Amino acid sequence: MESLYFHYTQSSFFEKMRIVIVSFFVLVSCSIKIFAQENSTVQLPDTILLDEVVKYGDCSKYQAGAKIETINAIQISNVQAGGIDQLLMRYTPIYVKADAGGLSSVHIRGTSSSHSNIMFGGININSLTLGDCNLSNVTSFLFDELHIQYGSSATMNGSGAIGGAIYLDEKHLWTKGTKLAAKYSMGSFGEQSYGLKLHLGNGKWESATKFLKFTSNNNFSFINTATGDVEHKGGIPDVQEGAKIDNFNIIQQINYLFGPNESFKSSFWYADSWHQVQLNMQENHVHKTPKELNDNNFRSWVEYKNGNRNLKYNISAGYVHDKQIYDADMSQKIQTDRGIIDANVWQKLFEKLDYRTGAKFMHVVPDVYSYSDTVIPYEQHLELYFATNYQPVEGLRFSANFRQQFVSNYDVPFTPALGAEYSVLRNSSHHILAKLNVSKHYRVPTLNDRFWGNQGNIDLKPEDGVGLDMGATYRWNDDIGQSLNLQANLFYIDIENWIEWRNKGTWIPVSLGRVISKGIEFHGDAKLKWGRSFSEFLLNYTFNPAEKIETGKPTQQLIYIPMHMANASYSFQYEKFRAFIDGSFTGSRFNNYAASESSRRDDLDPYFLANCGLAYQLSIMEQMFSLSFSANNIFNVDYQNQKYYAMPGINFKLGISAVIDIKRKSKKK
Amino acid sequence: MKKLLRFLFVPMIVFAAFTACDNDDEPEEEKASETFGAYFINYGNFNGGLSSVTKYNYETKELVNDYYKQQNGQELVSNIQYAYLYNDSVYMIGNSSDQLIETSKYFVQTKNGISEGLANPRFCVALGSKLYISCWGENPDYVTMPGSYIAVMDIKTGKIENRIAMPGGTEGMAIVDDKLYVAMNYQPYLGILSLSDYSTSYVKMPAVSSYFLKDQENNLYVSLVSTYSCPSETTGLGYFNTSKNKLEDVYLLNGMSSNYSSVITANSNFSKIYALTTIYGEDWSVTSEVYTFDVATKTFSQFASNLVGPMGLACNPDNNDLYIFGGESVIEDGYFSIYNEDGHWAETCTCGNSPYWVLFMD
Repeated sequence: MESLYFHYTQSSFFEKMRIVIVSFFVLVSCSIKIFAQENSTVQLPDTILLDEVVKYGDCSKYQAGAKIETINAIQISNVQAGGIDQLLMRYTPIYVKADAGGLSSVHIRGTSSSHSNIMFGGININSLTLGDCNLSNVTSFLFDELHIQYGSSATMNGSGAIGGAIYLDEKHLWTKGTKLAAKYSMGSFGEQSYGLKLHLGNGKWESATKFLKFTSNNNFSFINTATGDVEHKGGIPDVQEGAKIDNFNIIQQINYLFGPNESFKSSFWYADSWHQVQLNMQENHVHKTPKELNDNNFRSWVEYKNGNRNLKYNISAGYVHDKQIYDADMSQKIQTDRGIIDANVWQKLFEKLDYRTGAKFMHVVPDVYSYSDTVIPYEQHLELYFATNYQPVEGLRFSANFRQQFVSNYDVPFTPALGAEYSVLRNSSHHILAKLNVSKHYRVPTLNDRFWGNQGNIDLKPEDGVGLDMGATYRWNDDIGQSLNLQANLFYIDIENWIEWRNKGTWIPVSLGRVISKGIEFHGDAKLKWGRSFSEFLLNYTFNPAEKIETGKPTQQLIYIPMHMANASYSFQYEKFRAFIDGSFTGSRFNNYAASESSRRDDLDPYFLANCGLAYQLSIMEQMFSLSFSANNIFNVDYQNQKYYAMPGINFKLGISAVIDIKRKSKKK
Repeated sequence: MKKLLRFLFVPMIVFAAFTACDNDDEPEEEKASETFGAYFINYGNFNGGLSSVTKYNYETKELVNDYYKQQNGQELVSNIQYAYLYNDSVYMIGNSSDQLIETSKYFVQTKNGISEGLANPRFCVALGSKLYISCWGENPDYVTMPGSYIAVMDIKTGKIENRIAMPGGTEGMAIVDDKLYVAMNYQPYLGILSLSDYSTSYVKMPAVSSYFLKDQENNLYVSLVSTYSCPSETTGLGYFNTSKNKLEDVYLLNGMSSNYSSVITANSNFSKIYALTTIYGEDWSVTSEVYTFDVATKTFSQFASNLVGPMGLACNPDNNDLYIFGGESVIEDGYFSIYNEDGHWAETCTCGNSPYWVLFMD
């Protein structure tokens, strides 16, 4: 097995990267020449074609210069099952700290897991107690696309959006008739996934029901190198125990279209996510009884939008119930309820200037076993925001955003943001765009930081600072849908009052000095057609020094933040056949800090994972069916994302899916 | 098909180019054969490794971090909650995974740890051929700890031969004659286990307790602490007469540390007891100090203040220097500071993550 364990060194990494980048451009340029100028329509068997982007559009419009990327339906279907963490690991340069047992957190641009907002409608689904979100519980199947914003968006998304934001996008079909998409997949280690999407409507009323059940025994084999066995030193074959996952998600949408500019939309999402807390290697070796974690979440968001007049408005409301029970012990309940109301108006003042302004109110009621009711029976938040977009001349655009949040008994800084975009070159085929975005950001300490037992500190300062994003994109496209997109970004994120729990005789949250995360991101993608074939390339690379600066301590890279991340993917479709391969490199990560210059730091080895898959689409009785097969970790790399937590080697998935359009079928009859 | 293969071939090559192999086996270091020095038992990061032993020769100033790894060629994979020296063996209580690790006094481990019969082990103490291990039990409720018990291990066979239920969160222990005194950390009682017939009895205490010191008359000083599950204003040192099995006095000390580490220690002739405190200020600040308890006058006086992330303290029986140790984070290396008996700071060194206890060896 040792030969299957791949080691990397930083120097060899740069050599590999050079090869990869050169190879990528060779591939792209060769393919452009090779592909003939034929048009073809690519139909995805398990993806319903959708027509409207809702929440993300505003974010893009009012944040000039921001970097926002999309994970599309094809990429979602390639991953087949599981949480959105799998998508981020494979298709973005974002580090996801994860074990194999259903616990994962996102770290965008070197920030912590509580520095990225996960947006469902107008709700940030991050836990109000912990501040972050377990991404493996956010099932990708339920969403049509993911939009990922890199860098600060606190002026748009509020507290915590420092490293970035992820928008869970549900598109609206305004279905006429019935459309049913069903899916079943099974995989190694007892993995099973059942999914259903049912759209019913008459073009005005629409009901969309999305359901997914995902289970996995997760009993994969691995080489246990941390047994503590002194009688038989070295790694021994072992089988992971105590890493079962059982997740159930259902989303119900009820929508009504009054007219082209007026609609009512609602979305109700219930998630019951259960998993065993994965045993680490030494616990696994002695067959320790695993603990379990059960999350129940109900999230709802309804909105009425009226754009019939020049002064347009939107009224939204939401309710969120989050409950977490550790090891079936009700005495350790962690629960919060929150109600949200958001109202905003937007208007085009002049041909080149428009604005949006509004207010968002949130009432939070925590029910956490370790909080005192006398300290926090409830908390209220009010956010006032204003955003404007100005386009003085063709190709030049500015945006300005302002947000002031008020939290009961807590001071929050005023948060502005400015952005600009300039089209250096734009014609029918080529577009070069320069971008700049500067913003302030902040994070209100979590409820735990402020109210946990007698350790929480209500006087903790909010984390705040400045983010800078500067980038350039080159885009080429032709009239048959081929495109090349290259993007480079420089970023700088400065966070003051970084909060960590520290031992001061007892464990308390403290505001430390500062964290500066900076780096370079490169993104490239290409879509190419040749005859009836379609290819798509993707390459991401990021270099991210993220350093903690603390008085009396060495300035040092944050733990579990790799300096280097890269991934690449290639998918190919020929008529009804589709194949893909992708790979991701995660650089070494420190797992401890040095208290002094002479201290030794411990790190985890870098690793490279590759995946591939095939899908075949067939039509039976004019309905679409698809068979798919994928293999993950095809080089069977033995690696650790977190120290002492085993990860699965090579594994396989088989899937079948169907899209049934009942209305279309009845018409033909 | 050829076109398909051509499309797939190049990306495969690209991905394969990422891969490389090297051999980073580290050369095995020479094992130490001297025991003289102080050994810091570093808990590390729960479930995240980093547990270690730091050896410090306070005469030559030689410091060896990762001493266990040096002696055994591999890391400690359990988080060491407590370590105990008995008959030239070191017994280390491991959490995650739960086990009892026995090593030689050189910290060389030749047998695997014992985990059967041990659920959330906390502390141990020995008499004759028996080792008594306090355990919280499976699935502790962290409120009243009804499932806690004392495991009795035969040292020769390494088998747990008995488990005696002692509800209330068994923690530190001390043996006087044929009685095992058990500090209860979740209920305000002091447990007494008869080692002759394993009968149990309890003495009501004004607060929950954590650890004992045995004086020269075989009476016990016990740390009385306030915890989240059982708050109390009567914190400090309790004096327990083992002849009468009675708490005779309580010497109040505000903020007596509730850490699960060496929070009380005595000098070599038991004239002084040192105690670690943590006090919350009105402005949410936290201050940590060390107090000296004069055993003769029964009074406290401040020994050290403004401590950074203290976890414990230990008095070197060889020279009565006081070692105060700790660390601000479980994911950062710890420190130990040495003070002489008069309270003068001598030096500060780094050690492994989260030092909890110190063993001194000749």
